[in-house]
Amino acid sequence: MNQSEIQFDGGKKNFYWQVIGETIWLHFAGETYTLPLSVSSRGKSKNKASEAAGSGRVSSPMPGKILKVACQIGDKIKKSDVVIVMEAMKMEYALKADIDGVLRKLHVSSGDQVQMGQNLAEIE
Amino acid sequence: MNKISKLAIANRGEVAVRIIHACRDMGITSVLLHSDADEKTMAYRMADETVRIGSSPVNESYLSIENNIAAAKSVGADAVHPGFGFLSENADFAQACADHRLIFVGPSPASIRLFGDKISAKILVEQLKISTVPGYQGADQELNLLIRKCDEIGYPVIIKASGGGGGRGLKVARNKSEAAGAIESAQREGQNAFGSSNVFIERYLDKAKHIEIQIFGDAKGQIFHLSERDCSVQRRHQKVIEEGPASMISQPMRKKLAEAAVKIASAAKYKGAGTVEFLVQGDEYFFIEMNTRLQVEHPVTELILGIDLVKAQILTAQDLPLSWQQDELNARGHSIECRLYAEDSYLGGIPSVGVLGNCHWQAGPGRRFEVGFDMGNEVTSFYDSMIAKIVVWDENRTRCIQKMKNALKETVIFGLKTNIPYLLAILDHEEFVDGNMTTQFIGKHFSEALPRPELPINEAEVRSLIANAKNSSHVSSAFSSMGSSAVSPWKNQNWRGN
Repeated sequence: MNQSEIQFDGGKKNFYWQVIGETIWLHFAGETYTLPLSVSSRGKSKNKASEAAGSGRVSSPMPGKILKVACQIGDKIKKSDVVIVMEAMKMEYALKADIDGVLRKLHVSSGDQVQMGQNLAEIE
Repeated sequence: MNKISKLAIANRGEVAVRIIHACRDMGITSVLLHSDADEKTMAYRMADETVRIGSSPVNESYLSIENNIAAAKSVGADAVHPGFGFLSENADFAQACADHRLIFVGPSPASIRLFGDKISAKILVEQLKISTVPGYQGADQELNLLIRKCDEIGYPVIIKASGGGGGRGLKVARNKSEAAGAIESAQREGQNAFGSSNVFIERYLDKAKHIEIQIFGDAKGQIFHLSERDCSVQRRHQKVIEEGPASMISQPMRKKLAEAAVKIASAAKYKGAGTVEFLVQGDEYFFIEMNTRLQVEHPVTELILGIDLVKAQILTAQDLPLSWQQDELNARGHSIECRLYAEDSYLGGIPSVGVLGNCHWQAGPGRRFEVGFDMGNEVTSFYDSMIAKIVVWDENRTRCIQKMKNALKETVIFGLKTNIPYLLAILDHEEFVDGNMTTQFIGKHFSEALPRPELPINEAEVRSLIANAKNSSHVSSAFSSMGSSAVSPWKNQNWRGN
């Protein structure tokens, strides 16, 4: 476990750290933080705009199985409508639309096994 | 000569480590029955022997009765400890062990069957004149009838898979428009997880505490009651924080619950560790279910009573007596357990899968760490994401809360996000501190993601300190990359587990 000392609040405090792949993990004053290892890749993750606006894409947050497709192509979708229900890690998850729109593309059906980050449906 | 000299453990993670500890303390050879994904985990390295029971998916390994039995027999095990979850409440597995002359460390197949069917359990308890939650538990499962029953019972209602348990296969319907969806969802989960789509319906008590009584039936037929635990802090019916004793419940109520629990266990001639769960609302209490296994939160009971439940299980399985006296088993002080999950507290608790980095568990007085994984072990989506438990004891609840907060802050886990910030926020919340939290607590106060904190120290300085350290020769933990994708697929989701 790596430890280093840093100036804080007029004194010196310890923090734990470890570099794993492209990420710096650090633990300071009871809280754990991550930083990208190289400063140039920072832009994307700190871009608040990309977090706030939706993309219309429904992706699988982790590997699992599609249980139910709740809409059909051409359906009008509102933000937060349930589009797909999947099962992962022993629980059911309802995947919801992040924008208003129309369901344009559906790439899976009930029973399909999916990977993490797989494109399941697209709303425009 | 004791009956068990070699015990096979049909489980994984921290509970497998827990059982290995008990085996070692009793001079019993431990055998870990494991899947591919669990090679090189802590339990694997600690066990005296290991046997592969199949590939990582649970159906091919931890849920396979044949594979577990064959593996246990192949190394000449005398007994099997099923842990919790998996096959621990599978009566067919308990029977198969008996058929193959393996001692099952747990109650009889009959007890498991009786309480495993949540409807037959309710019927038994009602016959003993103990209150259960009002509802519908009939055989007619026609959808429109079930919806009508929901209407009759009055919303909100909770629909439960009758083969379920442990907080799974439960769906709440708050009004008529939610009823059909909740019923179908519960039926689906019941079918997939428990092999039966049979459901029953109960009124949903939304001002209740979840209070459970630990009981234990010894080899001589005596039923001990071992204090209670308050497990009201639940997220989507999964326990997050448990504590004992239930200091916010009146002493007369606690006595009534203990008596009811002993009555139920006695009626079933129960042997081994079991937990009787109640909902307590005002002056009323209602039986919900009995769990016929060791529970995740058993360390809370161990700390307030100074006992070892796993050893007691193993002794009882050999028909050996325990050293307990009921009148000496009085809870002392207070204990709290926090379940550590690999999930991102700042993104609403979405799971964090991947490889564990460095971990630091800060030992100290009254702190117990139930850990199943080391640096380099992988948390996968094959199993649930609980990576460890922290359990603390102190003389009263206030001190216990403070100690738990310190223990959580001092714990360092790299490589995976954890729910530690979430746990700290809960422990700080006024309703938790007052002890009045009901099962609605998390839903009411923690349904939004926590705000992500800014780094309080200078980032450039951090980077330069790390760069300098990496250049010097004494840096520890060279760790090969695990590769994280630049944009998480979670970010574009309005993610909510249901």
